[in-house]
Amino acid sequence: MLNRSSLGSIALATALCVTIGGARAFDQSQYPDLKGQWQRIGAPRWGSASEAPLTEEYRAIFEANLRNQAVGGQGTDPTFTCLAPGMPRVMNVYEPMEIVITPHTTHLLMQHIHDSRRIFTDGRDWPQNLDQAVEPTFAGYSIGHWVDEDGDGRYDALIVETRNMKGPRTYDSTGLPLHQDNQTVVKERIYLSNSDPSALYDEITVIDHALTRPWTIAKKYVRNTNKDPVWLESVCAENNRHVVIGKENYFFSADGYLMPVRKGQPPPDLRYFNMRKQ
Amino acid sequence: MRGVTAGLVFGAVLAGMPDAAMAHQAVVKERISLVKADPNLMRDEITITDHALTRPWTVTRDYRREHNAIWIETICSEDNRQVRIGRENYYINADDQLTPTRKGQPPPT
Repeated sequence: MLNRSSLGSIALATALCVTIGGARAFDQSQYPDLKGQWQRIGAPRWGSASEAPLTEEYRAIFEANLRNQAVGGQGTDPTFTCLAPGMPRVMNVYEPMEIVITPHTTHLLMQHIHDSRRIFTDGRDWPQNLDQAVEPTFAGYSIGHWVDEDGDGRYDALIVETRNMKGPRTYDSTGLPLHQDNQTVVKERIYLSNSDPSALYDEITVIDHALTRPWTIAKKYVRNTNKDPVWLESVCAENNRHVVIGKENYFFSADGYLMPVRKGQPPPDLRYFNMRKQ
Repeated sequence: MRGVTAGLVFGAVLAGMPDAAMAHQAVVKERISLVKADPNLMRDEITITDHALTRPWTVTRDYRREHNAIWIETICSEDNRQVRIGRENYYINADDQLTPTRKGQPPPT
């Protein structure tokens, strides 16, 4: 049912594109067939932390984060309170991805925590003073263009650049950090495998001041072979057991009681409660 | 375009109304169309069939097209000051301290 609905939305988007006066016709055959449900392979990890070209400063931040996680903290990973992962982390594809291509925009739809992306393919240039013209977002501002690399009249790849992100962001739950200045630039090449139409690749290069050089990795996603895949709903806040009060992170027990997450953690400041009545 | 949505999860409430969809029985039927007289106006006629209602309830929602949209991001949890602990709802004030939301509210346990 859900899948049928999403197909309906594509049909509506297509119909609107054709209907509006002056709009160019949308020839879907020019684009690669990216329909269906795309799933990541393996754990949602970015890459080997030991291979990450972190600056000395950010290597120290990462290692302090690991020590904090080892004693029950969350380290630098900001998503435990349902904060959006942002770019480039969403391309770990925590929940299955649907790709919706329209003439002006390509949408990467993912559940999880606000992971969906909107990639403008309408030929626009970067707005002047981007971070002032458009409020920075976790997902960033993405401009893409489709390219016909082999000249067969059909697009082969989507080339994307993303800027204007905000933070905090990490690459994955290990807490591997991006720079706090949020000057990250992410460049991608998204394409179907020539030999396997059920394999999608994303070559991702991250340029970030926490790195000593651009860092490129390749992500591979596989298409669900079920022609009517199930799209599950993921609502982070629905049963999130984490809560931050002041500068401390606590955990709810199954009975709804507040619990420490580390040995010796002080309880929250309760000065606003009348403790004499309790 | 016509569509039907079923299988709603308990708790998917309509503006604070009690929900009878305990067994996921709510059905939502929609007809989404552009308004002929105004191509920048989209209309959604929504009919809800739900055991909390005495009859199907139809409402119409109109949406106006913005041609030069700036898409902003809204992350509810980014600055959510409400926190629920056990069966109680508390508030985190500007100084990041836990505060009661009603007189005489007990502190969390």
